[in-house]
Amino acid sequence: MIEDQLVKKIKHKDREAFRMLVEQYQVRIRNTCFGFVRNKEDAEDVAQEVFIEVYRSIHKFREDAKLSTWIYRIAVNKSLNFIRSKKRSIWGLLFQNRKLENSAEVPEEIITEEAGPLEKMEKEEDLQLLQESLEALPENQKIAYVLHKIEELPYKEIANVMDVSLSSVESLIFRANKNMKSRLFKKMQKK
Amino acid sequence: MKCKKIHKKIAAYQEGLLSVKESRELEKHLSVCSRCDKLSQRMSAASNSFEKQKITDFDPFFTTRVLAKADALENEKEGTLSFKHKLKPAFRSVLLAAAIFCGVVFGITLSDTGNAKYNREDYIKALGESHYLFEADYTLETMFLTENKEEQ
Repeated sequence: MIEDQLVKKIKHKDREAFRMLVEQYQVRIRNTCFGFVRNKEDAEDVAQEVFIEVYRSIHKFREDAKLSTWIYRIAVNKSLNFIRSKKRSIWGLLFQNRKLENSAEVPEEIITEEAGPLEKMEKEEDLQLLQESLEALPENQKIAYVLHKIEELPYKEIANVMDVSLSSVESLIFRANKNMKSRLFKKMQKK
Repeated sequence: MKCKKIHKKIAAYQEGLLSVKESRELEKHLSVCSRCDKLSQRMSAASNSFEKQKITDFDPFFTTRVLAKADALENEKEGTLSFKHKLKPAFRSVLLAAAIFCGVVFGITLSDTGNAKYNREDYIKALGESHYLFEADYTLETMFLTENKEEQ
């Protein structure tokens, strides 16, 4: 179904059209949310909120923009709000640390069959360090980095989502990469 | 090149930000220093691990959960509407009772204001002997005079 028709139908609360939209975007949005929150369960919850927000405020969507850009924008905002709300409470912080430990579990694809326990531990540690480096990035750099590195969006779409110029996106991604690597390196040296 | 200098340049090297000359020098060092080489490889592997952690699987239950939430949202809206409908007749009857009460109070107030043209002396005159009503207001002297008048 063409995007315009889909949007019109959802505006008229067509359940089937909304189901199609969720199916079309769920992997991308779950992945984007995961890029920010770094925990699969939390990412699922945030992604659900994103689609509910889409359903609730589809009437606000101006059709001069791309639907995907609008949905990505909601996903970024919801994910950042989630992170902020967690950081606000001390209990949240403790919980986050616990979850971070869980989320630092290295997926099987990363560990080769030959990897021994020491190598596995090292990789888990590295992933944890990488997550810490990502969390330490300024918000704008983090958004650009996640959308580029994890969601692999083209620079132009990232510029639309963030409502900044193309050159700003280039600069943000450049700085984010540099900051990530130097932070990661410093942390690796310390450990 | 010393290890310390190399460490400062590894991040820039991996991002391709070094000049050809600097890159060659660094590569030369990495080929002879196993410690720096391992660190460089570790960093490169860690940087790429995010890409390998991506969510790529389609989850049909996710769609079901979202649709269930959307349905709940719709039901909630309908529930709020029906509550308004239920509230309307109740609100009408409360309004009617309040109007009746106001009418009664207003009527009583009006009738009181009508009587207000009479002063205390008029009451005494009208009531004749019933000065007991205002007994507390009278001095002993006045009461004595009144009693004498009654005797006469």
